[in-house]
Amino acid sequence: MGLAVPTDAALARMAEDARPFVRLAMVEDVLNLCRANSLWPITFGLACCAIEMMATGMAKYDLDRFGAAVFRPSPRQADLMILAGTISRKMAPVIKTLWEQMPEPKWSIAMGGCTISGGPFKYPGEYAIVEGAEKFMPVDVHVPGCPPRPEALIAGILRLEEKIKQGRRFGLQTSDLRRQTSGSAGDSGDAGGKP
Amino acid sequence: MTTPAGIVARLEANGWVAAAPTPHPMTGVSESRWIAPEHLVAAAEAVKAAGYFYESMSCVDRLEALGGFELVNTFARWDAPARVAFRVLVPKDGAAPSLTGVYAMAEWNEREAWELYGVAFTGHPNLTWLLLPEGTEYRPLLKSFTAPPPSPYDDSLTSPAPSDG
Repeated sequence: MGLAVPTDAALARMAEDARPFVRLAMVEDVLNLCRANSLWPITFGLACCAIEMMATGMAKYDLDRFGAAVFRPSPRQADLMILAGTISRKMAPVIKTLWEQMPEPKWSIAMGGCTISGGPFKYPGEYAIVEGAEKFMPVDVHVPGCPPRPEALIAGILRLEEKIKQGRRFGLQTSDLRRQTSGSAGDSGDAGGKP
Repeated sequence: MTTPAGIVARLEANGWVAAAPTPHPMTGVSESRWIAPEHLVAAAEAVKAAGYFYESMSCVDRLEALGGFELVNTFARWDAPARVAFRVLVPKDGAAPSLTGVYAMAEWNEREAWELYGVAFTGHPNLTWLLLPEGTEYRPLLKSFTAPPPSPYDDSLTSPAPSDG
């Protein structure tokens, strides 16, 4: 097919341009695109949120559509930890170990109120629950809910994919750009606004 | 004599139980009796021989009212109404007899009572923490318990990793 083949002169110019630097930015972009679209979560549930996580992976919600339903039974093969449920003080060291066993690059999603802030277990005198996963490990995306519905978890995974594609930072979403360039004044972009 | 009333009558003939009547419509318990700790294992053997299964064991902090812990051992059969509760009063620094030799399922119930209340059990094969981290010193379900020591996870990510204790 009609692939444009660069001339020798163009190749020489490109090589000249590239000489002082090792340019890996494009490679990183491609790698991030691959990573974002083939997330492998670790098979790992903590409490009732895990039931919703399992429902998300099953046929009705079909997480495979987003390339993120290859739940791996070993942390060595996983690059996404979905923290689905209450974290007790007894379980926290185990989770920390699993997280450290996962190879880089890796990401985590805090699913549900318990892993965000302790949720319903945050009260004076509480003696057995860790109030939020971020007390002992980094979290990329928070999905609120008690428990969140599968749609919410899917939204969290899509948000994480956006983050991975942008090199670990949240930037403007394509929808935001489209809204800005469409230039309708007074459109604040609130979800649930006027139809 | 496998009815709750029959079992209790036989134990009462041995002088083992004291009345603690409980209205069945309110609690679902057909026969509820106080029993001396030294007779608990024999009573559990009797209900097991009568085809009852070990339902649960709950612990109540009665330190102020009775000076000890009340253990409510519940046994049941599926042919309703058949549920027997044997209540044991364990003195504050005493020990309760373990039922693990009769019903293996009692093991986790007794570990839970031990870690949450501090009730000792004689004859338990593995009396260690079940729900709380190993090495936990406090007994959170005591009525005198007010606030736990700070969690090892209260600090931010920059602090050293908490130990497993």
